[in-house]
Amino acid sequence: MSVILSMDMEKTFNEIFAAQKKLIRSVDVLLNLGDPQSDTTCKDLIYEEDKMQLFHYQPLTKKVCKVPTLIIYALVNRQYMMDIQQDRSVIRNLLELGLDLYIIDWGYPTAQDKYVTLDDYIDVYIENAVNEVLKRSGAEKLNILGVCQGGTFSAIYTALNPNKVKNLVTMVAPIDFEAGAKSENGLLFKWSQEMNIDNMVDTYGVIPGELLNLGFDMLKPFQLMLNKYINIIDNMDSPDTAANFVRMDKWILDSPDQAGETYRRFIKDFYQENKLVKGTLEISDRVVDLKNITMPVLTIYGEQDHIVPASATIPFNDQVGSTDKELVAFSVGHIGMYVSAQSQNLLAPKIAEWIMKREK
Amino acid sequence: MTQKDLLGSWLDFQKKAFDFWQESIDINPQDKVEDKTTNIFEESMKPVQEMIKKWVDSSTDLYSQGIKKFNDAYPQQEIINKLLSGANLYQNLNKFWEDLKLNITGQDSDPNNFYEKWNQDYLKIVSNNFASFLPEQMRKFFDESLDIYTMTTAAGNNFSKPWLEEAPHLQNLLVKSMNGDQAAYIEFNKLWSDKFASSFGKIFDIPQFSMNREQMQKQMKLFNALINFINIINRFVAVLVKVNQETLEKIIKDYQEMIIAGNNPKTFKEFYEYWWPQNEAAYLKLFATPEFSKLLAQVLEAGVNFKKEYDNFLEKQLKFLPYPSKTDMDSVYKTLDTLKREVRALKKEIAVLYEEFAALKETKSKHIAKSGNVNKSAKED
Repeated sequence: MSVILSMDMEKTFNEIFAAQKKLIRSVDVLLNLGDPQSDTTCKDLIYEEDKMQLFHYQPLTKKVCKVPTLIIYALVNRQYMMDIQQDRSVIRNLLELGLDLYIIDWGYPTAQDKYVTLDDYIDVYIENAVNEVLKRSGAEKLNILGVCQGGTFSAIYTALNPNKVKNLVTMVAPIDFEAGAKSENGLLFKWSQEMNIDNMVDTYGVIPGELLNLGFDMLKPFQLMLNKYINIIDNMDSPDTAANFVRMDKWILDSPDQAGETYRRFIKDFYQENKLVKGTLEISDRVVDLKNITMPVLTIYGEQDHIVPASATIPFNDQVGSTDKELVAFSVGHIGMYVSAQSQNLLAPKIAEWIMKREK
Repeated sequence: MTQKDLLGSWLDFQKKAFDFWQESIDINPQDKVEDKTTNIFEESMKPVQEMIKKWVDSSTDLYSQGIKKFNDAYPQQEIINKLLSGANLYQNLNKFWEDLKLNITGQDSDPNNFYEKWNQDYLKIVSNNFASFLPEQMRKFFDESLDIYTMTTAAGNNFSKPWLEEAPHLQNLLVKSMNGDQAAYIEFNKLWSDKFASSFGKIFDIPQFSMNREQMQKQMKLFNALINFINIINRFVAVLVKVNQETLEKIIKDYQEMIIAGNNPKTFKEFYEYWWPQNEAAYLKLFATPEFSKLLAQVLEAGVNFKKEYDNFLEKQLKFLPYPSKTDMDSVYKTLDTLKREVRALKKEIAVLYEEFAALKETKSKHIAKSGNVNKSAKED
C-alpha cells in the first residue's frame, strides 16, 4: 500500500514539475516565435469593390485547367483557412493539381457596412467577381467552390445564374437548416432559432465577431476553451508545433464583424425559416429555386462536423435539378476538412479530379 | 537590457530554480519510510507537498504577471493568456485531485462531505477559465457588474437620491444575489419596482415636473435594463452552476466506485483525461435542450437591451460635445449607402448605354460600308 501510495505521490510530484516546466517552455517558445504567417501562396489582387477583394492565384503547373474555379468562402472567419500553412494548404494542393484558382476575400466589415444586404453579397459582389473572372480568363463559364456559408451563397448564386456556372462544388455548406436544428450536434442551429435578431441588429448595427466566436467556443466548451491549451503545453517543445498551433488559434480568433442587414436575413430566412429549402427565399425580388441548378454538383461534408452538421448538408443533392451529382463524406470535423492529414491527402485530389473530368 | 533579454534571463532563472527544487527534494520515500508507516510518510510529506504547491502557485502567478507586462509586444499575446488561464485551471484542478485522493479512499469515505467541502472553490476554479473567453465588453461587465451598478445609480443620483434611500438595502440584496441567492434577487426586483411605482412612477406622471424629465426617464430605463440583464445573467449562471455541481458530485461518486473496483485514475493526468470529457458531455446535454436555447436568447436579448439603453443614455449625456453621435454617423452611413446604390445603378445604366452605343456604331459603320460599296459598284456600272 505504502509503495503504491508513494509511487503515486512521486508521479504526482513529477507531473506538477513537468507541467510547470512545460508551461514555462511553451510560453518561452511562443514569445520567441515571431508571427507565423498564413495565406502565403502567391496571388494577385485583380478586382476590389468596397471591402471585397478578388485574388487570382499564380498557377503552379504548366498545364492549367481551362475552366477557372472561383472559391467563395463564408463571411464568418477568414478565407485563409484554406491556405493556413504551406504543408497544409488546400489551395496549394489544388494549384499543384492544375486548377486555375480565384478567391474572394470579404474583408472586415465596419460600422459603415451595416446596411450591406444579402442581395448585395449575391447580386453585386459575387456577380461582379464572377464577371471579372470570366472576363479575365476568357471562359464562358466558371466552376464555383463554395465553402461553409460561402457554399450556401454559391448555391443561391448558381440557382439564379445557372448559365454562368459549369460545375458547382460545395464544402461543409449548410442548406437544410431545419434538419440541422434537429441534429444532435446542431447547437448553432437550435440556438439561432430563438434569437431576437431584429433587436440585435437594430442595436449593434454591425454584429461583433467576438460574440460569434463565443458561440463557436460554446459548441465544445471544455475541448475548445481548455483542453486544447492543456494539450498544446504538452506538445509545444518544438517551434514548428507551436507555430502550427498559433496559426490555427489566430485564425480562430480572427473573426470579422458581420454586416447587420445581411446577418439579420441569414438568421431569419435560413436558421429560423429555412427558406432556401422551402423555395421561398428571394434575392432582389427573384425566387431562388434550387432546381435551376442543373450542372454537375459535388457536395462534400464532414461526418464529425459540429458547426455544420452533416444533416444540414446532405439534403442539397436532393434539392438540385442536376443529374450528375455526387455526395462525398470525410471522417473529419468542420476545421479538419481543411487541415487534417486525411483531407490533405484526399480532399484536394477528389475536387481536382472531379472538376478536371468535367472540364469539357 | 531589452525587455525580451530581461524576460529571457528571468525564464532561465526560473528553469534553474525548478531543476534545483526538483533535485533538492528527494521523492523516494522507500529509502526513508518503512512499509508500516504509511501514515507517517503521508504526514511527513504533507509540509513538503504544501511548500511545493505554494511555490508553484506563486511562481506561476509571478510568471503570469510578468507575461502580462509584455501585452501587445507579441502577436500571440491573446493565445498566451488563454494558455496561462488553462494552465491555471489545470494546476488548481490538481489541488482538487490531491484532496480527492486523500479523502475518497474506499467504501467508508463520505463523498457528500467532500462535495460540500469543495463545492464553491471548485466552481471558481472552473468558471475563472471560461470567463476569460467572454468578449471583452462582457468580461468587463461580469467583472465590474457591481461597479456598473453603482455607476448607473450614481448617474441618476441628483434626481433619484430620496428614492435611493433604500439603496444600501438594495445593494445588500444585489450583493447577495450576485453570490447566487435567487430569493434575494426576487426581493430586490420587487422592492425596486415597488419603490419606483410608488415614488418616481407617480412623480413622472406630472408633466411640468422637470425640464430634465426625458433624461431622467432614460436613466430609469437604463437602470431597469441593467437590472433585467443582471437578473437573467444570474439565472443563466445558476443553470450552468447546477450542471457544474451535478457533474462534480457525479465525478466524486464515480471516483469512489472506481477506487472500489480498482480501476481509478492513478495519476493526475489520468484523472484530468477522465474529468474533462465528463464535464463536456454534461454541458453539451444541457446546451441541446430547448430550455437552454430559450434562456440563451433571453440573455442575449437582455444584454442587447442594456446596450441599447446605455447607448441612448450616453448619447444624450454627451450631446453637448462637438463630435458626431452614433445616430449622426448612422445617418451618414445610410446616406452613403443610398448614394452608393445610386452610383451602382447609374454605372449599370451607363454600361448598357455604352453597349447600345457600340452596337449602334457597329451597325452604322456596316451600313456606311455597305452603302459605300453600293455607290462604288453604281459608279463602276
